[in-house]
Parts: sequence; structure tokens; C-alpha cells
Amino acid sequence: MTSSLRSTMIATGGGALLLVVLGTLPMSAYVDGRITQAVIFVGLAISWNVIGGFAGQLSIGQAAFFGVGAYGAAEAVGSHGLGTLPALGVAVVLAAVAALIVVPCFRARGAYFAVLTLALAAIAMRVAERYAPGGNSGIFYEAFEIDSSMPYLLAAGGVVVAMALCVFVLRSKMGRGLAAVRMDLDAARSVGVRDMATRTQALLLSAAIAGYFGGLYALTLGFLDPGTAFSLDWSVAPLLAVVLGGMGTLLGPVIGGAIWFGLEEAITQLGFTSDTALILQGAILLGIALAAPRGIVGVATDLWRLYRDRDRGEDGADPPPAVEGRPPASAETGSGVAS
Amino acid sequence: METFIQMSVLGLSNAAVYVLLGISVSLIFGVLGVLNFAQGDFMTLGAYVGYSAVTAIGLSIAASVVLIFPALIVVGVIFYFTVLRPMRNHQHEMVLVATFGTALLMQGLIGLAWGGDPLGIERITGAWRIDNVTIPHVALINIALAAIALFGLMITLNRTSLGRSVRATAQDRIGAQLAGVDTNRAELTAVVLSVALSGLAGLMILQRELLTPQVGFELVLKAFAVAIVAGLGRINGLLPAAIVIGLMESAVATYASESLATATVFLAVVLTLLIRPQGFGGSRVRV
Repeated sequence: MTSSLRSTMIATGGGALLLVVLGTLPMSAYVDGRITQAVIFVGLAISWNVIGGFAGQLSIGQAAFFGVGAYGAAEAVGSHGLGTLPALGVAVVLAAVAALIVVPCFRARGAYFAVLTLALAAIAMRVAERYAPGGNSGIFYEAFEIDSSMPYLLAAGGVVVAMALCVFVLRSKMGRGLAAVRMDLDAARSVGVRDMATRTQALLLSAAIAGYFGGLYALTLGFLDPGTAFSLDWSVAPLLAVVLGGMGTLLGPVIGGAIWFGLEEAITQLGFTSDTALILQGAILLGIALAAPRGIVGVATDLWRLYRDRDRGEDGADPPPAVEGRPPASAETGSGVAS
Repeated sequence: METFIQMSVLGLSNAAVYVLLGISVSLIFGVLGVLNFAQGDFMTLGAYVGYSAVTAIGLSIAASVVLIFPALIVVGVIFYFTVLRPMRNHQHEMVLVATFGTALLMQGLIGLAWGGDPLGIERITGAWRIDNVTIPHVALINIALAAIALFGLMITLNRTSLGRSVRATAQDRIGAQLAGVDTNRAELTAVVLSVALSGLAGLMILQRELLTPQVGFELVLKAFAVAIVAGLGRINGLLPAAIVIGLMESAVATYASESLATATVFLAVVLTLLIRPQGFGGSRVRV
């Protein structure tokens, strides 16, 4: 456990370094902008992984938090003249408050929870169309300068902080509580895991991260309408990306998010039709669900274990390890005969 | 008063679509425990096949079912054997993801086959006028079709041995197996019934709006709404649930605004799940 956490932290540090290098490379403003969007998407995937992966609550409502964060930051900058950082703070707080409304949904489980969150996100969009500032036609406000490196730095910084939070959560008591809740809610309850509190904390963290990236996303645009901020894509795409990468793993959302975004980008750049894109995405999802439910990270872990164990087998020195927690079979039968 | 009657007719006509889709969703959930995100896309496929039957082959709309049903049943059987059955013992999250993948795949394939531009056929435009109230024939046809389909389904589920095996499997899979029910066959039957009803809903959509590959996916959320308000896997409560939701939606759209109408449907879901998660379907007997 500790060694896997250590390696994850090394990977996170390496990832942070990679992000810094990526940011300093001289590139056209367009490519820079796309990379920033990719990092924002990875951030959203990380946020979904907290509730969907760690806590095992299949939410399809992340768009609500993303959209609330986006509107919060946009309004803070546009109508109240706040700076970038305070605006992002507003986004985080508003998204977390929105998450409190979702807490009663924990009464529902599994598929019911999925539909419930989906419904709430849909309601959020309709309500925004009618009651959000600007209504259906949206709002304009001041965005980042086109060649500013600020959005990239904020996105990359956000991802690093979010990853650090995830590592911290997994190491804490909350992480173990979440694992218990994910595996068997009733069993977790019966051994005294405070499931409601644990799930609520995960939801708040997830919403806060989503709100941050929603706010950042809005600040890169300069224009926002309900269809953009609350698009169903913000609920579905992170879910799919995390499934692709590996649900409940630390690196899953990063890998899956980067690949998913890259895939969509490549499809647009190569001039494929949206139909081909849908077929490709659908086929990937079906393949993952049928053949590799633990995603890319899961497959990679399995392959690595296989490789490691094969080495051990070839040595001949180490016999294959006995099943954990059970004495070797010979000892058991031996004592049986003696008594 | 005229507005009210007008609105009710519209609401009931919507309810006809919802009840068919709701039953489709509920049948598969009842027997397999899977919330099928691809259900709306079966409906879309049905609508497109109907479109081709009318425009390319020249069949009448009513006759197009002879193509819609076989096409959908083939796709449904493929879906069952490649996705639903292999994933029967998988984590439910992954099954949801798989049906979602199926939905995307079908939307892509439909777009590839028929193109993404909105398509439509010549609609049945006739209507009765009583004073200031217009009652389109289509609305009545939809309501009648839904009623016939419901009646047929009830006969199948309650009076045939195959239908009874579906109900037994939905109630208690292992119990049904112990009593000698072929649960695999029951599952297949439920899937076939489900996609056939979706295809019928597609026929109604063809009369109602222009087709795009995404048309079903937008409707499937409403089908979920109806099925949840009735109680997932319960067929008994579906008709009243569909009528209530259809009327509610059309009332809010008439007297308030279109976008709030959709919000109301989802609000009904939220309230149902919070107040009475098992739905308002009444009896405890499922399917």
C-alpha cells in the first residue's frame, strides 16, 4: 500500500514536472489553448473519479457542478469585478453549496442514483436557461488575454492540487471508509463506517474540484450560456474518460482524460465525421466494459504483475506465494493427521 | 377551457409515447436489473426504418411495422447476446457504461446509414374541430396504438406461458429457475418485447418530429422518468405515471414555459426517489 502510494506520488510529481515542461514549450496560441482545455478536462475527470471511482457512486450529474462553477466565476468577474483567483474561489464555494443539495440523493443507490443525478443536472440547465443572468442568450465578461499563460498555469496547478488531495484522501480514514462504502454499503454500515458523512465529504470534494475547473473553463471563454455551461457532455465525458483510464485509481482519470480528449481532438483534426467519432467512442466503451472493466490502469497493473511473477517463476527459487492468510496446505493436513 | 382540452390532448398523445418507452425500459430492468441507456436509440432505429419503409419502399405507415419489428428484434437479440448476457454478473456500473456505449454506437451507425440531416415523412395532418378545440387524428391514433400495445402486452405477460416465465424471472430469478423456468429464454423474451415496443414508439415519433440520430437519446431520459415514477420494473403503474407526466409536462409548457416543462418531468423523478424510491406503482408484484 505504502509503496504503491509512494510510486503514485512520484508519478504525480513526474506529471507535475511534465505539465510544467509542457507549459514552457513554445507553441502557437491555438495549441496552447487546446492543451489548457485538455488539462481542464483532466481536472474534471479527476473530480468525477472522487465520487464515481473512490466512492463508487455512479453520478451522471457532474455538469451541474461544472456549470455552477462556470456561472459563479463568470458572474464574479463580469458583474462584481473580482480578480481571477477570488472568482475561482467563488466557483469552488458555489459548486460545493450546490453539492449540498445533492446529498439527499444518497438515499438512492446504483442505477437510481445515476438517474437522479442526471435529472438534477438536467433541471439545473433548465433553471439556468430561465433564471441565470443573461438567461437563454448568455452573458459576456472579460476573459484571459489570448496569449496569457495564466489559464494554463491555473489548470495545471489545479490538477496537481486535485491529485494531491486525492492521494491525501486515499491515505486518510476517509479513503478507507470510501473503499468500504464502494465495496458493500450495507457491510460498511454494519461495521460502523459513517457512510453518509463519508459519501458527503467525497461529493463535496468532487463538486469543489469540478467547480474550480468549471470556473476556469468559463474564464477562458469570455462568453457563457446555459447550453455551454451545463452541457450533458460535462457529465458524460468525464465518466467515460475515467472508465477508460480506470475507475477508482489515482492515475486513471489523468490517463483516460488525456486519451479521451486527444481522441476527440484527433477526430476533429483528421476531419472524421461526428458519426465515426460516436462509433469509435461507443466501441471503446463497449470493449472496456466487456473485456477490461478496470480500464487502462487495471490492464497495465495486471500486465506488470504477470511480468513480475513470470520472472519469479523462472528463478525457480521462489515458489508461487501461498494464498494470503492461509497456511500452506501441507502444514494443515499434517496437523490433521497428528491429532 | 379550450386551452385546457387542447393541452390535455397533447399531453395524452405524449403519454402514449412515454408509456411505450417506459415499458421498454421497465421490462429490461425488471428481468435483467439493467437500466438501458440505449433504449431510446432502439426507438430511433425503429423510426428510421419506418422512414425508409415509407419513402424508399413506398409502404404505408401502418404497413411499415412489418419491417420495423423484424429489424428491431434482430438488433435486440444481438444486443442481448453480445452485451446483456455476457455482462449479467458484472458490476452494475460497467453494465450502465456498456449500454451507454451501445447508445453512442447506435447513434453513430444510424448517422452513417441515414445521414445527420433531419428527416421526415409526410404526416397525417387531419384533425377534428369541435368549437375552438382541434384534435389531431395523430393524437388519437397514438393513444389507440398505445392502448392496443398495452393490452397485447398484458395478454402476453399474464396469459401465455412465455409471458408468465418473464414475470417469474423478474420476481425471483433463482426461484423461477428452481421451478423449472428457462430464465435465459425469459430474458430474451423480455428484450424482444422491449425493443418491439420501442419500435412502435419510433413510429409515433416519425409522426411527431423530424428525425435526427439523437432524437431517441433525448427521449430516453423521459422514459426513465416515467419508469421511475411508476417504480422501475413495475408495469402496473406505468400507464398512470405516463399520463400524469405527459399531462404535467404539457400543462407547464402551455401555462408557463417550454424549458420548465422538461425540468418538471425531472423534478417528478427527484421527488419520487426522495419520497417513495420504490415508485408509485402500488402493488409489490413486479412486471
